Amino acid sequence: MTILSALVVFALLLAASFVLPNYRLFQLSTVLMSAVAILGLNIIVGYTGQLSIGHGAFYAVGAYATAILLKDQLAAYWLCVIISGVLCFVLGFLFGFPILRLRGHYLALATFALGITVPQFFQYSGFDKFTGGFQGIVLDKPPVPAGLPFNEDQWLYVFCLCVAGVLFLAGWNLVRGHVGRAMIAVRDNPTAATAMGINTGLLKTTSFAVSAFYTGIAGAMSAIIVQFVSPDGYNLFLSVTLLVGVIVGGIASVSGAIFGSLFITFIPNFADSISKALPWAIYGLMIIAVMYAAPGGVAGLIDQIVRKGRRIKIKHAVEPPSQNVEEAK
Amino acid sequence: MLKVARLSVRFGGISALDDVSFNVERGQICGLIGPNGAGKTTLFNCLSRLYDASSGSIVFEGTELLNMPAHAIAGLGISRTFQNLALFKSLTVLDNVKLGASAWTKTGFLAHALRMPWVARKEDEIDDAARYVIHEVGLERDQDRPVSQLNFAVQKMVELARALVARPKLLLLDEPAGGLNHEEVAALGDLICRLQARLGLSILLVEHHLNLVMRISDKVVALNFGRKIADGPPKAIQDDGAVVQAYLGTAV
Amino acid sequence: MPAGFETLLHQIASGMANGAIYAGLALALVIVYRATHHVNFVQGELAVFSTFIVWTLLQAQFPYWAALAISLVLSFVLAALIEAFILRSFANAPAFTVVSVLIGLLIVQNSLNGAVFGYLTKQVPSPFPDTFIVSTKFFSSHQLGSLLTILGVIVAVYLLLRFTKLGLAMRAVADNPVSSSLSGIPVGLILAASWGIAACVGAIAGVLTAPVVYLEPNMMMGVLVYAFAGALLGGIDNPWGAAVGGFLVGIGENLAGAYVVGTELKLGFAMTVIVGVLLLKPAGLFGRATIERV
Repeated sequence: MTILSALVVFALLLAASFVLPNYRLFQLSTVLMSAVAILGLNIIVGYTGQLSIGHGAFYAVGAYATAILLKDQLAAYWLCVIISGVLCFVLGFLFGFPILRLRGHYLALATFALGITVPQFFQYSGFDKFTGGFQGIVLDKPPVPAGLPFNEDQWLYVFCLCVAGVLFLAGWNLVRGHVGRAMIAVRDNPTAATAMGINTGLLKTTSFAVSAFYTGIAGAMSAIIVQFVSPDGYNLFLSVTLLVGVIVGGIASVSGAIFGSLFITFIPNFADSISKALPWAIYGLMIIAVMYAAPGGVAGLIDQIVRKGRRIKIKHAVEPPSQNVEEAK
Repeated sequence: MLKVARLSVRFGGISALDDVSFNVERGQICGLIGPNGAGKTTLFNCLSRLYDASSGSIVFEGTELLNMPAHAIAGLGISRTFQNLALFKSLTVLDNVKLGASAWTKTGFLAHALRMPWVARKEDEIDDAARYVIHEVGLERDQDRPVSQLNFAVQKMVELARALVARPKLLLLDEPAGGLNHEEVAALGDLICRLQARLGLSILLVEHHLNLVMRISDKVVALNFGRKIADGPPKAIQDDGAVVQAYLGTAV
Repeated sequence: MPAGFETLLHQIASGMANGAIYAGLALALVIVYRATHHVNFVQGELAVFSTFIVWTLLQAQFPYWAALAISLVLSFVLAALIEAFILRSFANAPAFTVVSVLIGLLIVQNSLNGAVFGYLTKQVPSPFPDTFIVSTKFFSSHQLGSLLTILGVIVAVYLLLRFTKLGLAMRAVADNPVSSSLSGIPVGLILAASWGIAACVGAIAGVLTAPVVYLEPNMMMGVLVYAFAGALLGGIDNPWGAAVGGFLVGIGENLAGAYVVGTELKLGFAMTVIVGVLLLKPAGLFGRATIERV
């Protein structure tokens, strides 16, 4: 994706705020924020190669931090989102530093425990005063800044778009520079990466913290979009859903986050009506199928098709010598 | 420039290295030989700080290496290749080689996310350095191909290129001729000499191809059962009784 | 007996009863780990499946032992098929891929359980009614029965591994699959059988859990975390260690819940154990530490 095409897409999405009905804007906002969460998870899982099945914990922390701050109007909504992100960054760093020394199954186990345990804290009756317990917290829509030609729903969408735009740009910058290469090096061969001078422990931890930051912001934004948080939606299944988005969309791919987000947003939409269990069955089967047949996910498949197309183009551009000789006669 | 002093490494009850001492001077090519299990790769891994030493010291240009973390070694000017290859399989040749620049590039997350001007400049510098080394080593034709698609000899070249981009003062080569045929070994010998002269490197070379070692080394250190058994110019080592016995055994 | 001390004994006793179930599931995890070096994230969902089968057959008026026997057979077959036809395809894949597939299987099995058996909670009777085993001051009939059953399962697995040809083959494959294959052992069959046996052990843990917490698709999620903690604490490659670990976690969880964190945050205790063991002594109390050669 070139910068130009990205700008075009951004402009189109911005224009959409005037054209689309509020319901569609709401859907798009959700897709954008899921994409941010998936991009965040991809940074640690796809690029740095450290599997985390507990990122729902950071989504929950981000959502609740924003909700608690907004409920008592302790800060403006956009500041709440930033605070939530930074909080998740710090927590991600603290948790990641000891945990990322683990590999493979053991790392998965530790993050699995995180993903199941942390959401429980938000159900704890002792914190009800802050978290609203099982009833959760209801939030108001953020006010539109003076002078802008949007209504509240449109402004919320535009705000989401801007947040997503900034975070995607930052993420793309990260992965296309030396940091991105270093992450992949740590993923592919940590011993060689160390020998080349990369501080693998610090890199993995920072990568994890950054992914927690992204996921926390996505959680914070989702709280504002839905105008509600409650302990229910942040369990293991959320962590797995984000992982499905990464795997199906494409490991180690920025555009993959968009494909993954579309997948996890629209599958429940159509599968839910058939059976409550169907979306999960599809998620699980897709993980297995992608791992088996197309480990690069949707983004990987597109990449392969593009590369094959290029090779075919090159083949046809060079005429075989014998044909030239024929025509010369 | 490199002083290994009384280095010992013990795994449980086994002494992989026992009281080994030798020096490598600036601009020298030093060969490290010995039968399998003699401790050569253990020594290399101590130099890279992938292993911890039980006792002794390794001083490189005045710095005690045994106090340094493993990822700091490249920054000091020591770069290495691996016996069984340690390439980044999902990346292209060019990207693999670029990663050698990690020795002199900072990986600041915030700076990169914001694409600060110096980050873009550094990217160009890394690109230039990588392409230069790839040209020197003769890998241009394959530079955009994934390393997993290349044959073993070419992959070894990629590892060498990657180690060179790190701008090392001391280059550690772990059996660079392993798996190569006769012509490839000769070409490798010429390449190493050329690089040493062009870039002013010091080289410490573990090798089983004794012809190669004797031809290009300024001095040779021989190990057996973790101990140093000989140390001197190639001619002297070739005639050294202990070395002959280590490789061939004694006549019955 | 002073009141405080009696409460403590109560906590320890019920901790042992919970611990028995964790020990059972932990034992299943270890059997799979030793055979395949994979952490079986699906173990809990398979146990739920087994329990649902028992419930269905009980609804159809089957006697308890028959329902259990049929469920064990079906669980064995299902687990063996999963290993043979799905996991085997990823035999040489990196840990990242295998864990992803196992998580995928967890989700699929969970949703299958929900789709086939429904999401309403169901009652499953205890196989140990008051008339069969007398309840004591510290243990209810069910708790005492669970303890004895799990101890019996542990002994049975020990006898299987130690004194049967199958057990010997399982130990050989766990130790060195290549040599085993060269010695004529059908490694594939043994791996599938390991999954099958683990599923049977898990099934028993499941049917002992259901009378206490009510049967629904997510019943074993929390239990799985405790079982992980127990298996890690005891040593994930040591069956007896895992069993001991399970009991310790059960008692510890109850004491922590009663005296430290309160009953709602007990999962936090499990996570602390998991993270603590992984960081301080990954081999656990009785496991074998492995040294990696570069």
